[in-house]
Amino acid sequence: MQTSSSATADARPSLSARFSLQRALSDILAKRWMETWIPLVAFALILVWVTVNVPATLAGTNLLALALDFALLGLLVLGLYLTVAAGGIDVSIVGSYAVVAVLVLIMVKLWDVPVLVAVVVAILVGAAVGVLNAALIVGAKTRPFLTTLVVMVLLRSVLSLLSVWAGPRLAQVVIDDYSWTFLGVGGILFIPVPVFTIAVLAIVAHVLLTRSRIGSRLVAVGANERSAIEAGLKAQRLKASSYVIAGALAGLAGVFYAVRFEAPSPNIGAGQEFSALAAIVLGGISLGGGRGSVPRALLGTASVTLLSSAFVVSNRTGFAYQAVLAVILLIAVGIDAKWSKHRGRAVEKLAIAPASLAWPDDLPDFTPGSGSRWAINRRLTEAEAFGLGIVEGAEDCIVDRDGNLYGGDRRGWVWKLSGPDHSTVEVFARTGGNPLGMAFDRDDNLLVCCAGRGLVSIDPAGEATLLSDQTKRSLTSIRDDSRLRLVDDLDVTPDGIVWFSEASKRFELHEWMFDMIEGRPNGRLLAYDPRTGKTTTVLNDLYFPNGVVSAHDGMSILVNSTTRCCIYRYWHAGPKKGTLEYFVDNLPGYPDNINRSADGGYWLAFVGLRNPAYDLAMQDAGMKRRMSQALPTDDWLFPNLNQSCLIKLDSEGRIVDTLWDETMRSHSLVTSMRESGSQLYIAGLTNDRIGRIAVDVEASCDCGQLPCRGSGREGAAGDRADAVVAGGSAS
Amino acid sequence: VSRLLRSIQDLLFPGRREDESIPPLDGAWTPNDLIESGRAIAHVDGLADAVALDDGTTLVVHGSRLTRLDSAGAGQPVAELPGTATCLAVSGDRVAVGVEDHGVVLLTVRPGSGVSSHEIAVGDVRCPTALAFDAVGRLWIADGSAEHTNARWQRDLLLDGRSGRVLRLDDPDSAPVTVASSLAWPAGLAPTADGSVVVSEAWRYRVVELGASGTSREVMTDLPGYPGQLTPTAAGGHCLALFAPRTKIVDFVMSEPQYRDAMIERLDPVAWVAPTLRTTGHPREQVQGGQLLVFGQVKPWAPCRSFGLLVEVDSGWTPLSSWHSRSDGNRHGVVRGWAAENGVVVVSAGAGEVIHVEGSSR
Repeated sequence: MQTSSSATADARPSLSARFSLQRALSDILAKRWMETWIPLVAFALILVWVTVNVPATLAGTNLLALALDFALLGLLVLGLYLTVAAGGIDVSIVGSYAVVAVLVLIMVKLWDVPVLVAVVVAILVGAAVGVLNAALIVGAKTRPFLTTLVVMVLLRSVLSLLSVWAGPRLAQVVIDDYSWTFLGVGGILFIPVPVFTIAVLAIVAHVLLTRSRIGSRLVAVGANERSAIEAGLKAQRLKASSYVIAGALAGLAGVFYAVRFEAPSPNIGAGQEFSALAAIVLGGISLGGGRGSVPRALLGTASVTLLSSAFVVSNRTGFAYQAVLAVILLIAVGIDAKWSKHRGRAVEKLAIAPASLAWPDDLPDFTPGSGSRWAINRRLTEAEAFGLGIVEGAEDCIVDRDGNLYGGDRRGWVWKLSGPDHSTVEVFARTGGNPLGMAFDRDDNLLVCCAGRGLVSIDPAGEATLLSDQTKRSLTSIRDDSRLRLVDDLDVTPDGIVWFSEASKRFELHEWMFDMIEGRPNGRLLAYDPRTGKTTTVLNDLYFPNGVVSAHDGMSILVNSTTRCCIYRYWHAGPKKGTLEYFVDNLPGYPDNINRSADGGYWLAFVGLRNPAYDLAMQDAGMKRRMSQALPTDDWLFPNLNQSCLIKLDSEGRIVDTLWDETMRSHSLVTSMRESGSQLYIAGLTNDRIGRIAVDVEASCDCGQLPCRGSGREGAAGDRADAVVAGGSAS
Repeated sequence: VSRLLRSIQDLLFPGRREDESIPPLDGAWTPNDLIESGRAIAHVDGLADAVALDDGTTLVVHGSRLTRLDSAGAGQPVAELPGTATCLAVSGDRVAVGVEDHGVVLLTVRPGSGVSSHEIAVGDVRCPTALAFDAVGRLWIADGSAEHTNARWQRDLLLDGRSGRVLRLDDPDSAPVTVASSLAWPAGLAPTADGSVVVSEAWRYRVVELGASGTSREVMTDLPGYPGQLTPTAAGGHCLALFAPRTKIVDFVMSEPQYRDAMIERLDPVAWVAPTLRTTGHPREQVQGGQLLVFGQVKPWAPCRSFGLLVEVDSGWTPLSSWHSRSDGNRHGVVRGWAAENGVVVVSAGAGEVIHVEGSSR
């Protein structure tokens, strides 16, 4: 069943095990910028349609008109988006834009107001309408949509009166002013002024919204006003400012209209409120507030502009344009609503991409009393219990030089069980993560791998400090894997290097079964160098590495792979330096932690046993995927994690002994064990105790690493100078 | 392609697909631990079926033996059968016993005066699952499957067996009449006064009434377990034993033919993903996520391969109350139950116990 190290080849997994298209898709979909893809696809479809059917739209002569249309509508959409993002809506901007356009013409043509002053006045008038809106909506608490609709109707009647009055008077006047011409046909860096303006404003707005405090507060108010107020934000002020800014932008749009068309009309901007709303919706921005982005709003604007321009060029009527726009809107809105609602679900569904993993069919006979080496026995059943009912889920345990026992806890604590019979139980430290594997460094600091936190060091006084929670991001990973998620066991080589494993780069501790069912090499082996404080990734692509021990030879690290049921051996020194091979392969159970024994062998905990139905399922990737999608986790097939055991290996990886709790009551799950003198302490991730049994071990190894001789930990502190006897330097 | 369409539909309209979901246990089905709290009258290895007699004693079949239990649970051998007995029916002094891979044995049992046996070879019944005498003394016989014998019921379930029959023996010396065929493992019989018969059709989780004129009417559908033996109550209703739970994982495995066939072919039946009459905790048994022990305990509502469930229905087949043994119990595989003083008697094949349960869930 087991193959020893000499017979095995390189243990690195194949590309097909490491890479999955489905998972790559899930990772890409999970990126935030993927929210934009439906607006993007809609835009692309419109572009293709226009290119094929109305190519004149994109011809050189029409491009300028297209760009100016885009700029005008863009200013309105930007303002509208701000109000929507802040949880309101302002449809009156189209009205104020039209009124301001006529006003600017009157000022410049009839009253001879300087153009720059007229521009400022225009913006102020727009802003004033915004203040009116804000006063009504924020102050008087009226409904935003109805309020701004009424304001728009008001503005449109003002527009009608103004244009009837001014129309004939304006017709004869010709403007001869440099700045007027500059605004109309001039360019900054060869870009027409309106386009340049919208570009600058869009960038400013985007940076403000995404990178500034005020921007995120505005969006927070839009997303949930109630909680924004609870969080102490001045929601009213933020909302009011969004209307004022929208009004000012509408004023600016009015200036550009006036400059471009130079003629008043009661029809200015007629129907454009619809286009602006269409742009918002085509940008995939929820009218509910708090979502979307400036680029998406402009993408929507581009789609709408392109479509309307194409209809103008092809001489179709405005009605046809509106009908087509309405249909496209309906489709886009429908898909986008579904998509934004279920994107997370799609990501989740694709996130688990099982791969086939096969072992030979031969499982040993576990039947109690069968005489097999693997026959279930009761040697753990009567183990002495410490911290019974107090310690909850100690994944690992360790004994210090004074004989104190330490164990983790699922609540993030580390227990210290002191006194001759470990009867004094106290919280030694709070780690801030879920404490799993433990080891002492040479200065008697307790190093703990904390899932969800990182590598934590606890000094003898119980003070916890974080040593490392990140490594270098790997080049081929789509999602950022620099942060450590599920670090689970460690060991310290005599040169002080801390070797530790991360079981999965993709899943958290409570999601371990996802990694298990996936059956892919998602874990890695890391090394922390206390001299530099740096963490390096030593090995990527290991199958759920879940137990780390420095071998007695001091030149290699043994790493347990839980899901692959094997023990890796990584040589960090000596002639085989840098190679990864199997120390033991095809184990009948799922190995968790591994620790040295004083006789030169190793203790190993099986967190569970392989089970025929599960083994068969592991070979069938499609079945695993469908099961993980169709059934809740509680109904999945699992390996038998109710029947754990401890095994003893000799120095070559041959199995010497097995210890069980047949009753599955006192030690139903063993995840670690620690030899100390002639005692063996037993820990389990879902146990309510730390157990202890007496073991008969001949202390024959003198490698200098605990619990072997030469470690200086068997009492005489003076021996510590001899601690560094074995072991080369780490790579 | 249909799978792709289905997953797109799943993505845009999640939760719309009609799933073969398992009905929740609520109302009269609300779980309790009544069976676990009951008192074992007797422990019988290999217990397969039991019937109460009017004199307060109980006849049980176990292995190849027919035994009479007195009210204290002491056993007295009655007869030896030619094979593994699977089911039992009594009418007066006539006793019918189904024998696996053999047929039906008719006995006459008179207290004190011994036993006479009359063996009949009923057609080719190799899988007798239920027997019942009607009011006029005719014997109704359920033959679970034409392809598998009783012990291989899991295989018949996994392969979606539809080869069961119901037969009627009007006279011990004549050939039986086939009343219905192509049934999905008929496992319980209740003849009615008007000549029709009510049958529990296990693999379709329903109870149907087969009329004398060939009509059929569903009286209970979408049961939470596989229905087995029916025993009439004094009030005109019935006690229905559900011998194993319906589970999502079994339904799922049945929808995965490749996995299912490989499993049946390559694995020891102990290791199959299939319902059972008892859960032993042997490492080869299939385990599900919710069954993992935490602090040495299993949740009562954990997914299970076996359970104990007896339900009492009224004359209109409306459930009145139920008796349960859940995931954390071991009196599973209830093959029959009947009303008794202050409660019910439950026959647990999983634990090999005849149990007197006081009280009801009502």
